[in-house]
Amino acid sequence: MTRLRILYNGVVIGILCSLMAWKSTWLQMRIPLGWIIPIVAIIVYLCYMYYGKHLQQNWAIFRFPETLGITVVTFLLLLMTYRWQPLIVVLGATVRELFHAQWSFGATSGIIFAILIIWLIALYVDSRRHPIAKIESGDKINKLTTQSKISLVLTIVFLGLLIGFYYWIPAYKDFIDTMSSLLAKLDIKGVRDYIDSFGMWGPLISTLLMVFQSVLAPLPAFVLTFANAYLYGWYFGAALSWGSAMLGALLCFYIARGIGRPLAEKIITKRALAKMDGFFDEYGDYTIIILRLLPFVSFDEVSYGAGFTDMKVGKFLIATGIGQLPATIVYSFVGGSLGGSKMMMFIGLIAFIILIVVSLVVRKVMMNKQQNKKLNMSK
Amino acid sequence: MKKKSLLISFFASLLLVFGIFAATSVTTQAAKLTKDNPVQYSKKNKTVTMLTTVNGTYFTQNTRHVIVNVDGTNGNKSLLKTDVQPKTVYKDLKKVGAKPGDNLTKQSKAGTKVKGSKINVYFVINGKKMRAEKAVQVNGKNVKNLNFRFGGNMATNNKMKTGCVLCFDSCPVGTVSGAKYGFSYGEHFTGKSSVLPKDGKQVKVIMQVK
Repeated sequence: MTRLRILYNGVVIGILCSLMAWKSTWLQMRIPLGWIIPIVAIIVYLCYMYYGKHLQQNWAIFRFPETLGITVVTFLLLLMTYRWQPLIVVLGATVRELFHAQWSFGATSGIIFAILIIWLIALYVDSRRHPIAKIESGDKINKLTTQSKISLVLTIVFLGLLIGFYYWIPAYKDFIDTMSSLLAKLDIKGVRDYIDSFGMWGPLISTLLMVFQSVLAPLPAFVLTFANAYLYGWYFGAALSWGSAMLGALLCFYIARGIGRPLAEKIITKRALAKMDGFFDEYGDYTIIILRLLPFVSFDEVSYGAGFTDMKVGKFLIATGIGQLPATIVYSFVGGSLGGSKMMMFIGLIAFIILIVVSLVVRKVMMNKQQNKKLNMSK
Repeated sequence: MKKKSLLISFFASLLLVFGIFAATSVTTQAAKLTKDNPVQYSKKNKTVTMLTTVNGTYFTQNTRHVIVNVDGTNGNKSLLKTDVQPKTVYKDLKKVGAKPGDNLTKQSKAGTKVKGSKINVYFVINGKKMRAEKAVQVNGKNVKNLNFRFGGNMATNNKMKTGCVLCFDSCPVGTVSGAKYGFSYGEHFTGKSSVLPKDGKQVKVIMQVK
């Protein structure tokens, strides 16, 4: 079953590569892009055959949750790139071109989706019957193991693709340029109109935007939170912003974890990481909650920072979820009031001011606490 | 006398009926294109007519191939697929009086425009004849006068086996190609799903020599 799981991941990654290649007219005019699917699947499988023998955890990097994650991310990326109808056409065209047939696009894509879903269900059933041990990343974070080497390679490939797509795929480049410009200009109306132009897929696009801005640390997230509340009301907007911000934080955490401590020490220096460790040691599990409460601390840098420590992902998620809740609610309330009554706007502004005051007080308390500690130590 | 005129009228009517039937059957035969007989030419009208099948992939994706033979290496890369060989189109166009330009090679300078007899290309959709330009768009915008020319290029076409019959821009391989955009210009088009029939449906294409 492990082999079937690896093959499934290979096929899904192959479909992603193949369908993304359609965006390069030069490439799609020259080769039948369907061949990319079996080629990628074979490469992934061969990697498993070679590296799998060296891994005690039996290629645990492709456990069922990761497999499901790869499937969901692939589907979302493709949906964002093509939208639904063109995606059906391109997937159908890719497969039928491979067989030199004139099957209908809908039926061909439907069969492919059905096969993938049945395959995924079978993998899920197997994962329940024969669970695989979790990756012990926390305990061995300082060591350079085969597992961490593979994680590093996969992370670099992932980041490389994110950058490479920018130069190869004009639609992706336009998307990144438009969004970077709108977010950097703090153009709430522009972001709102852009998300709204996707119709029923708007929430999905908003989620992807939030994840995108998380990876690119300097871009502000509150513009998106405002826009979500403006579009979907403060309640649903807050839920959407909160959920997508969690996904973004998780991705940043895993990117940092994938790069790994040994390489990070070389890039960021051991001293900087030690300073961060000290901070995490001092405040323990509350570090993330405290940092999230402060609107002046970069949300994404905290996620990256946590990824370089030995913090468990579960604790990180709980702390992130609690910590970002107040700011998300307040921003959403302000965002939702932008198109509403003056009373709503007034309440929103009051809440915003309270949040800033509270966060400043928390910051002050923290600094005093740190100073007292230092004084006690010097005595 | 009355009997005689009645007889003449009867024979005249009979001849008329036969005449109409014969004329209809000739017209039908001329218009009837099948998978086994996918191409016809008319010296009188200076036309070559061929049967093609719509490839809906290029309603959403870009291409530069308008018509390609299904067995060619580019058989799946065009808006319209056909069973007609480029060689047949080449010969038929020559028979109806077109002269090939043969001015392009793969080493030609970028921007060079295809030469040869001017060809008007029409698509017959639901019995209605319309110019090919009406069925395509560039970056979502309409295009005017693609200026199709009988490029010829049989030597390169035979060598490369791409199956290219009609190209959107000036091409050193396609039998007929558009001179509006020069060689290696890099412009591509998509088919209009609002004008063309659905994927897999047939479209008759008429090439008329001017």
